[in-house]
Amino acid sequence: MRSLSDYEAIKKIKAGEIDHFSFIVKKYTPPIHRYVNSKLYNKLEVDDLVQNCFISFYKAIPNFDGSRPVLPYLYEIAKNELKMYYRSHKLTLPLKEEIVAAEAPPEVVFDQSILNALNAKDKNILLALSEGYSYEEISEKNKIPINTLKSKVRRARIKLKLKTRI
Amino acid sequence: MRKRRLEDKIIGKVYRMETQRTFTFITTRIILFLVSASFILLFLSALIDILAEQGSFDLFDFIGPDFEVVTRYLPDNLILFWAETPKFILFILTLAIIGFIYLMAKIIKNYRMLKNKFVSIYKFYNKKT
Repeated sequence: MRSLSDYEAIKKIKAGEIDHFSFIVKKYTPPIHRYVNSKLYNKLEVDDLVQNCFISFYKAIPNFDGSRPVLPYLYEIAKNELKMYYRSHKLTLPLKEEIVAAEAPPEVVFDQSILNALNAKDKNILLALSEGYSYEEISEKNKIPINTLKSKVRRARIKLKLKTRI
Repeated sequence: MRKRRLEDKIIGKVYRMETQRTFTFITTRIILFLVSASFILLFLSALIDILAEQGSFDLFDFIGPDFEVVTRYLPDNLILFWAETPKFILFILTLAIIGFIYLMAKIIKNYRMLKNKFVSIYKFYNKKT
C-alpha cells in the first residue's frame, strides 16, 4: 500500500474520510508523547494530555492549511495544553496547623482611655461611627456639613494613631 | 504496546466525537428541512386560498392565444394582482423559500463529506464489533 503524505491525509480528512486521521495519530503520537512526557512532572497525566492534543488538532483540521507541516502545529497545541494544565494544577503548599496557630496575631484589646486624648465632640463622632451610623446620619445629628465631618474623623484618626504609637 | 493502546484510545475518542457531531448535524438539518417545508406548504396554501377567494386569479383570464391582447393587458393586471396579494404572508413565504433553498444548497455541498463520514464511522464500529 502506498503511504500517504500529510498533505493528502489532511485533504482526505477534510473531505470526511476520518479513518485517515489514524495515519496522523500513528505518525505523530511518539514525538508528542516524548515532548509532553519531558515537560510534565505527573506522568499519570501524560496520556490524557496527548489525547487532548490530538483531539484539539482534529477540531482544528477544517481551518488547517494542509500545505503547512503538521508537527510544529502539534507541538504548539501541546505547549498550550501544558500551559492550561499547569494553570489548573497550580502547586500549593498547605500550611501546618501548629504553624498557623503559632503565627496567629495576638488579639487586639482596645484601650478606651486612648479616646480621652480627643475632645468630647470628636469622641462622640468616632463612637457613633463604630456603632454603625453613617456619615449622613451623624452629620444630621450633630448639624455639621458632611465634608467637615469627614475631615474631623480623619484628623481624629491621625491623632489616635499617633497616641497609640507613643 | 502501551503506545498502541494510547493511539487506539485517541482514535476511539475522535470517532465518538465525530459520530456525535455528524448525528447532531443530520438531526438539526432534518428538523430545519421539515420546518421550512411545512412553513412553505402552510403559507403557500393560505396565499392561494386568499387569492382564490378574492378572485385575483380572474385577472389572468385574458391570457390566451392572442399575443397582442396579452402584451396590452398584462402589465396593468400584474400591478393589480400585486396590489391584491397579502404582503405579510408573501414575505414569510419568501423567507421560508430562501431558508429552504439555503438548506438544500448546504446539504448538497456537504453531501460527499457526510457520505464519507458515514462510511468511515460505519467501518470503524463494524470493525470493532
